[in-house]
Amino acid sequence: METNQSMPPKPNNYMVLAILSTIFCCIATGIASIIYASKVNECYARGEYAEAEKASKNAKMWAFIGIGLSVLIWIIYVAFFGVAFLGALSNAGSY
Amino acid sequence: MQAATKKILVVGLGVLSVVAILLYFSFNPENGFLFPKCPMHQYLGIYCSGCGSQRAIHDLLHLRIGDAIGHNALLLPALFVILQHLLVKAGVLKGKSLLGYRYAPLVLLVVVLLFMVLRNLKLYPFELLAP
Repeated sequence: METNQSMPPKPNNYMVLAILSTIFCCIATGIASIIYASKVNECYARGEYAEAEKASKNAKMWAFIGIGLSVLIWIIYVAFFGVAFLGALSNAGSY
Repeated sequence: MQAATKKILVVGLGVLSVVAILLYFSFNPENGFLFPKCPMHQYLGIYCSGCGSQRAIHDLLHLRIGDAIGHNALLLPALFVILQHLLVKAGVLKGKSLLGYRYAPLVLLVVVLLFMVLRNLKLYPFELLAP
């Protein structure tokens, strides 16, 4: 009985990032990430460890693309309108 | 990733989170200014599973739980599941992470897609799910 010894640990399926991605930003990249997370679990359960590792990398990639893009757009948007808002405030004060 | 890069990333995200929480507390996204709108809704006219989450965060920071659920019913359960997962990982909570089950991703997929379809129906009671 050596089967247990050759079993590598289950690769991360990045479910937390996938949830954050679907609830807070991009549904498309979030769904992609969830599907790869599911693939990690299925491949691992079937013993296809290399495949599971590959799916884990994809899950991570899609989650980071979604969250990264959203955070970037959010920062640009808030900075732009924040500056405009401050400008309006200081203008209003001078009248 | 190198340790130094990771550290900068973590600190940066930490600072960003604090700024974001302060902004979401001070300004109501309902007024349609400062915060970006969901492009999905703006250009396609569809509510996605994330629509309303900014307003829900504002509600939540003011402890208006009912309003938060009204704007995005999935936000609170999502935060709960993530918190439970992190607490189990940190060893604070005993038991198994809800995200550790084999079919957790599939359940999540079904819930998210179902939520997205239902909240777009102009039909009582599903229209209550619209943000």
